[in-house]
Amino acid sequence: MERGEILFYLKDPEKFENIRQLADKIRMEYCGDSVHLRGIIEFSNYCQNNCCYCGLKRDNKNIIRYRMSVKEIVNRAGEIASLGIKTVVLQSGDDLNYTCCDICDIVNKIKKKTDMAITLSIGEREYSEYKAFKDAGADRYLLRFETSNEHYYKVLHPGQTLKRRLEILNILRKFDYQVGTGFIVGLPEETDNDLCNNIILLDNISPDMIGLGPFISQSDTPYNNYPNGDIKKTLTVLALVRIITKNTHIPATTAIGTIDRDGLFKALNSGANVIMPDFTPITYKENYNIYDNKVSISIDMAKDVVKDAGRYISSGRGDSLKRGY
Amino acid sequence: MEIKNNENRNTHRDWINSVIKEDEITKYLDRGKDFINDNEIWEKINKNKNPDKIEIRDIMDKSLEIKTLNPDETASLINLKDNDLWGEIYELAGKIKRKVYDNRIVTFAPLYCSNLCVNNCLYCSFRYDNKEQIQKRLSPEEIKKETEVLAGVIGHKRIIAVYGEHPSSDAKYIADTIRAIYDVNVKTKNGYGQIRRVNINAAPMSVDDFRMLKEVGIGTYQVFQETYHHETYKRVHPEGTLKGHYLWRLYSHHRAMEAGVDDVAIGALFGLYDWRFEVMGLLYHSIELEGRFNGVGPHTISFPRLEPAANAPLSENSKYKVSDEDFKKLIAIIRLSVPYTGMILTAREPAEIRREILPIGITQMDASTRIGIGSYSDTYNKQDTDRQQFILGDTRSLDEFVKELSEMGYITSFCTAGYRCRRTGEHIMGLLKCGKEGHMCKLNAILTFREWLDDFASEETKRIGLELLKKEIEETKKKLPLSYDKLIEYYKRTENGERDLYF
Amino acid sequence: MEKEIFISKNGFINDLNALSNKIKDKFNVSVWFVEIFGRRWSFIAGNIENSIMPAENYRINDRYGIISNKWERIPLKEKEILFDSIRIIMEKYGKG
Repeated sequence: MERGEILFYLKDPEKFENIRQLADKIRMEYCGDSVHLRGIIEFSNYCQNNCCYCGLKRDNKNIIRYRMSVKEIVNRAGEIASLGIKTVVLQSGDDLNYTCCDICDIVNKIKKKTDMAITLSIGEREYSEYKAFKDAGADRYLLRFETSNEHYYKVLHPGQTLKRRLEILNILRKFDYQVGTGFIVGLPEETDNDLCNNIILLDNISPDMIGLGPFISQSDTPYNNYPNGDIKKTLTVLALVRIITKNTHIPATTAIGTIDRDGLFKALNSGANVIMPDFTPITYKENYNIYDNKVSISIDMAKDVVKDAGRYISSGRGDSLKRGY
Repeated sequence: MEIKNNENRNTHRDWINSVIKEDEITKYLDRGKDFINDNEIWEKINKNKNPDKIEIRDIMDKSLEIKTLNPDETASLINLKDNDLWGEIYELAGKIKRKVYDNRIVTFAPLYCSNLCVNNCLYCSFRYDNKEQIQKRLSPEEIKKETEVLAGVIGHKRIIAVYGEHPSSDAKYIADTIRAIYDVNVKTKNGYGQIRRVNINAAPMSVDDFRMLKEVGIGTYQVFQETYHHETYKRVHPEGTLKGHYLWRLYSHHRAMEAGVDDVAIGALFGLYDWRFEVMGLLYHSIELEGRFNGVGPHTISFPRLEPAANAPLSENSKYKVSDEDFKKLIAIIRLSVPYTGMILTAREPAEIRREILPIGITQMDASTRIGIGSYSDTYNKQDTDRQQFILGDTRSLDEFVKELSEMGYITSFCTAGYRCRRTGEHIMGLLKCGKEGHMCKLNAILTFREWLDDFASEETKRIGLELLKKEIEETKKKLPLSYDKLIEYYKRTENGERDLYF
Repeated sequence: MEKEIFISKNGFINDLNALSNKIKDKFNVSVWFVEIFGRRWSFIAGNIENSIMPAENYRINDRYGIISNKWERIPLKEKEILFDSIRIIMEKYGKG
């Protein structure tokens, strides 16, 4: 797709239905009708970073921080596996308290106990650690870039750079991870031009998975007064991304489900083919406030919405469609 | 109301299980562990065995800046053997206290409301297996009678209400008693007596229960871990009792603060285990609270020592009994370690000890204390061991107590500030930076002291108290000339019988 | 670099803080707001100032109060305006 075309659709929400249909068609062609479920465990909400839009930011004192023990995480993963789910996502803030050994231990134990694919979403670590995690058995890694605008990136993420972020994605690919990345739609002061650049960057990276969600403000951040991202815009971006990148795994993210009651359903019909039910234990779940009023997606909810969309739950691991997995 | 001790362990078990809410504990754990790491504590104590003079002096400087020490620093103090340095540390302890609290000592009285208890702690008279004790729980009416004596005859304005851990003294009962206490208003010589702040020492509760208590106007919530040592804790608090649950107790203050209670108080019962370990435990506890709640640490720290108690086997013979010398040391160490916190020394200790320890940084002491249930309104002269939790050491009346303090140059404050007196390093630092060192609540202290002298003091005590106040006011004229006029105006109004000029 | 301002999640508290700051800027007077629980006046917002000067408190309604130790620095007219502003905030959040 040409830049001009992307911008055209971004600027004109009325034209959405056209690309939605096209995106749905392409999704069907490359991914089929099966929807992959990935069970998430948000095992720690400690974070050493201070990203402006995120409730887990280090400086936020209005949050009860928690850390699950290795045993708790592994047991939980076992429970997810017993429900028939084939991928587990281990997510946390950038919490270096879990050493390389700890993560490897967790990955190792889950591999021994189940035959699920393991996705890590734990932020920025040393390159050697990424290697170690892979050797221990991790299959995939999620690391969003959030914005392709270098200057804005620095503003949003004090002390971090877009350059490093993209370098890490490269390294992950080198280490043979299936790589997932993506961005937030509707960040404060973002323009359609920025979104267009984000989409183009995505195409250039050509990841195995792409995660997109609307901006949702969190009350203990400097951005607590900004309006949330718009569902139409988000779905437009999702559709465009499906059309452009074709055979990627694209989830109907929880954020989409949070700003719109029928968000997940709409997303599945706009190019998405993955849903990620959460399995963070109730005690901790309410404290994982990356944004306000995060909805909880149960496995039953996921199954329902898949059925409503006229699709079915995949029975395979849902590995990358890109490189002959 | 007296209750026959014929409940059985099963009814207790049901109640205990209904009280404990596991998820209100797990959310605070760090990977399944609590913040007291027994091994780490001993490692630190053993690692810092030979602190040199320079290190100690650096630590002393840090304390004087009203900064919480880290575990290695406290461990160094614990291991210090040099007597000369100890002399300097005792002096510094007093200096730190004066910096934050000036020359004020806050006074209060305990009010034992109920001795029914489901626990069976080896060291306490209230223990369930002690069949000889008389079980009693005061009704709100009886509470009022007790309070009338405290507020109307003795002149206290602050109470700490104490409750056994039992279904009959649940949050609702506690809320009722707090209301009853606040309702009391007794005419006195020149004004009226009332209790303006009720703190409580009660069983750990759920967040919802704490919210209920906040609504009713609770001051500080106080509960002691007794011992931070996991193994010892298990041994002296039989499993199956409410107190047997280490974690439920350890995180009480977290829950209280989560519910919005402004001030929480911690403490340890010295004599159950090694005092060095417990001091480190108290430090880690303070650091944990500061970390979780935006710099807000404990309002006060208490350090009761194990004393003989009727029919409690452990209390008679413990190898960890703390000598008077070590007691003095540990108090100084706590003063330096958590420089902003209040420190309570109760009448559990004999008068001579209280006199000696007072200058080492104590900020609160009780007097005219009666610890038997319903004892204030009864006319008991000798101590009745069958009704008391422990045996009282210092039996001086409030009047004698105030007289002595005045002679030593301390104002007795009946501090009744109702707004948040957050004990945070940051808060104090802010004050210190503006040069308002030690002036926090000063006027409050002067006025409440004058009020008490007028309404309750004996001739002799009043004379001595007034002399002290004269000096204080002179000093204020010199140090804070701008505030002097306002101070005099309020002081005169109090002299003329006006009450409640502050809160 | 983004300036990070911590605004609490509560709009009510925000507004009270903003009002206190305005008073501070205009008159160099610290006022702070409290929530009243029985006998306990518990700080919730504003610029608290502990000093030797006696603080005077006013009850806004059953639940809330305002305290300051330098009321005399605020002229009567301004005080009225201040209390009007407070009333507006209370109504806005249904805390009347």
